[in-house]
Amino acid sequence: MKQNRISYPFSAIVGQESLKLAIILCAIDPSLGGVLALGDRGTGKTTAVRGLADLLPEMTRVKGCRYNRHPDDPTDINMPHMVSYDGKTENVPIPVVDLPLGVTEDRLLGALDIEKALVDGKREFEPGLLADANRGFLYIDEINLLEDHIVDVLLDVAASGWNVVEREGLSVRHPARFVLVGSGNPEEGDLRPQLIDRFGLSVEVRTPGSIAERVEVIKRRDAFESDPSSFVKTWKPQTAKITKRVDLAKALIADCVVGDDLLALIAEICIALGTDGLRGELTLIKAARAHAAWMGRNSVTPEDVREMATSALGHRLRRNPLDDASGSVRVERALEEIFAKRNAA
Amino acid sequence: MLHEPEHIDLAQLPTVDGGLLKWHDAMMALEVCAAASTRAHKKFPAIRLQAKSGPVLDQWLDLFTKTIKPRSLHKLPVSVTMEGLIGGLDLAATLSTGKRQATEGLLSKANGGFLILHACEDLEHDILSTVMQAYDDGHVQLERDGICETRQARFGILIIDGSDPAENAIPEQVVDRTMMHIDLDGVDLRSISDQSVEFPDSHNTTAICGPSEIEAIVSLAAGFGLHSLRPAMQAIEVACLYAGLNHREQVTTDDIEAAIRLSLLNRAKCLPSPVDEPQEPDHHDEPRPDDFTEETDPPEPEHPDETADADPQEEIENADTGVPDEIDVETLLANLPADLLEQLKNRQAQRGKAGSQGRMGIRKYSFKRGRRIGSTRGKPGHGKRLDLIATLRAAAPWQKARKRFGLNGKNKYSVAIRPDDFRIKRFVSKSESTTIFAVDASGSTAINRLGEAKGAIEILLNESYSRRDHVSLVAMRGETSEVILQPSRSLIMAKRTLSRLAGGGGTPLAHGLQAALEIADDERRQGRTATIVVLTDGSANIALDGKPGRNRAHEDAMVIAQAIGASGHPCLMIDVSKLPGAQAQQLAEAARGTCLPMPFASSHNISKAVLEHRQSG
Repeated sequence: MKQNRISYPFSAIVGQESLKLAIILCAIDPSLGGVLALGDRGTGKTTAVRGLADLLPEMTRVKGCRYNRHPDDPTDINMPHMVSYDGKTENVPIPVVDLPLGVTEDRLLGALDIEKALVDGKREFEPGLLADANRGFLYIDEINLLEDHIVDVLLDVAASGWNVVEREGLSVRHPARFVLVGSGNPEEGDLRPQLIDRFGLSVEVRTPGSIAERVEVIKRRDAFESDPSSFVKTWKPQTAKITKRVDLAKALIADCVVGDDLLALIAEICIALGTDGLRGELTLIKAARAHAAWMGRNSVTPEDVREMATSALGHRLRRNPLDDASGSVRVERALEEIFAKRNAA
Repeated sequence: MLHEPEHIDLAQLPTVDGGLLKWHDAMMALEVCAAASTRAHKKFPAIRLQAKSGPVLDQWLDLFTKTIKPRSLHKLPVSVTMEGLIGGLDLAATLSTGKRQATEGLLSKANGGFLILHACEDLEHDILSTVMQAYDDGHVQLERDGICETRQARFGILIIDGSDPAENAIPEQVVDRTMMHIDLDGVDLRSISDQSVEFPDSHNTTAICGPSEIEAIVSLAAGFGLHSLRPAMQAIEVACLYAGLNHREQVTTDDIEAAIRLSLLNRAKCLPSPVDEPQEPDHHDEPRPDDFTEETDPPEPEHPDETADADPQEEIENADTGVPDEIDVETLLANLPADLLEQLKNRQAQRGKAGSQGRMGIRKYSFKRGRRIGSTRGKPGHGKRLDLIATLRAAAPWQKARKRFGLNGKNKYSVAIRPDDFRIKRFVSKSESTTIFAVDASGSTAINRLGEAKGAIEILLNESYSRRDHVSLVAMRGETSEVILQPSRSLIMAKRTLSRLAGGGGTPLAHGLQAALEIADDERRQGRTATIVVLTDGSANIALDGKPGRNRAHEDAMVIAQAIGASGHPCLMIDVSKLPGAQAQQLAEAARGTCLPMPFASSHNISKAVLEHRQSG
């Protein structure tokens, strides 16, 4: 999964504030559960998501481990098919693994290594993309076009955090905790609700409207395409600034408290919107906390909640056949009411 | 350069000879394409040719091959499989060498050359998206059959678009990525016969597009209703290339005009607002790039932040007014082919089609046909096909043991396979269903029931969405019926269409039934099961030919209903009249369907009825 191509620097992306924010918050707190970017063609969804890799720090893993095991994580037990841990570790970038549309199940989950089997008669497990993505991110472009049976196995693994392979005489399990990042254009086909629910934040991406902004996008893109490496160099300080701020926020987030009054507010919002289950609440709490940390505060304010509610809840609403409005519009409406009431009180 | 645009006085060309103009554009596109193909580090161009097959297209393709001299030309067949497209395990090579070997897919074969797409509207959506992703990235990622590789796939695309916009338009994601759009429809062989073409061997001038020119192109693209940013970027590239071909170092208005004609005009969704309309002093009045025609120092329009906080939606709507250059627009409008508006109308009517391409659905597993989804243990034969790779995988771990017992042949590399190892391919076939709603939106009776009918359809839409069904809507009102939504799986699209549906006029029941039947037949041809649901009060008053008259209208409706009955499509008639009458019942009988009166029915009851009906039928 080594990709040597140069990707467009995150800091050079024009506009797309909510998408950028969502990606940053995911980098700050990966347990948020990933970002889903839905929107029009040619809006730079893919570019922004690929820029995520820029913001991620390195992680420590058992030296040479293809499953990215953390040396101290007790759940990441040694298995016969893994390299054994002899106290040596290495630092590697947090993986952002691309899942292409044409992927087959055996490459996703891992399968028998056919070469070793044929030549040496050895039965050996060849880890798949889910192993590569352990403790990192799994990015699916055009996620709404992913084949159903691939989505099924993906959901299964994502729910448990473990990949269990029982086939071809193999019996293997390995940790596969990854954050899903997806993008797609809803007009080309809808997403399964179970899959949507896997995402912590969802963002609707629109084409920049103002001519000036569009011109700026095009100029930068052109500069990038004609000389990628020097363009990246120009933007390096800017990206470094964001990365540094992400690091600071990461340090802050552990001490970031969400007061009881805010928990009540979040519950109120979720009840008003009728979101199913508690996932929405939990995500909104986490998102508000990450937002506060990003802003350099160690306490969460109602504004953090308000800022994050749309992307944390917009995709979790039941589709109401008699209400044409999109999820985000309905969240906005509910927020307005609740905050108006709060301010009046 | 043979044809400088100045040499052809556009105003003096008779309108009938639009063919000459089109051919001239096509030649221009060829030159630009040639220039684009020589650029290092940049994408190869994608060109769309709207043309029916014939000598004109052949001539252009011939010139294309001669001029561009592409390293290779590969046609992408509609039947291509994912494996054929991106590659997979090369079994023969793997077995003979003992090392894992991959086959080369079409996309990496096309590296350095051009890929020809015929009828790309018929390609499976995931195939098409994979092609487009590879085109965007310049490489293709192979994650199949235990192979993990990234391969170079830098190719150009030549799209031969013979699609009929009224039938099935070319997908937006392709149009969006295509640099030049050339229309060869209506070009006659005579207008091209005496053209000899010579092209310069090298065109090394690189032109620069100044800030105000960039701005002009960006606003024009927005004015044409192209909200994605790719078209504007492509138009800028075309302008630069065209300027380079003419040995200019700076992009001028001529180049911009060329860019409009080659890149934007043939995919425009709307026309920029007329120039004589007074321009409101709106948000972007500051960097107004009218100045660039004066060839003076262009102003510095670098204020991206000034408008950044404006509401983007509002901005998009106002974008048309941002068309900056009056001269351009005027010449432009004069150059428009006469039938452009007609085409635009068609295109707009077809916009719903973009969503109808996803073809996943209810799964029906099979060992015989459909899409490959893996394999399972079993015996091949009787139409069940052996999955060689999976079989070898199954056999592989036992080779050592089997060798020991001498179960393999004499050859060192031969593989011993036992019946237990056999794996057969599993497929999932496209057994989807489409529900076609024919809604009586006439003024007479449906007016108080239209809301209810809409509600019912919305509930059904939600249900069919979770089952991944396709939905189509036919509105019956006025003198004819109208297919307001082609079969689509996009909930958003269906809801939008439905909410826009207004009632009024007569009840052209026969026409509506006919339209529904046609869609149903089409769907069947594509392997989907169609169910027709008619919401009407049964009292037709417009005959098939659009003339009023109750008796004729009812007779016609009965004839079509019988045709539906003969076709075997399941049909459900929902009587929406206040007092259920005999007419709807008669129609339902003729159509061999069921009639459900719903004087007091709620939306939920209708939806329940449809589901029950489908399960029993």
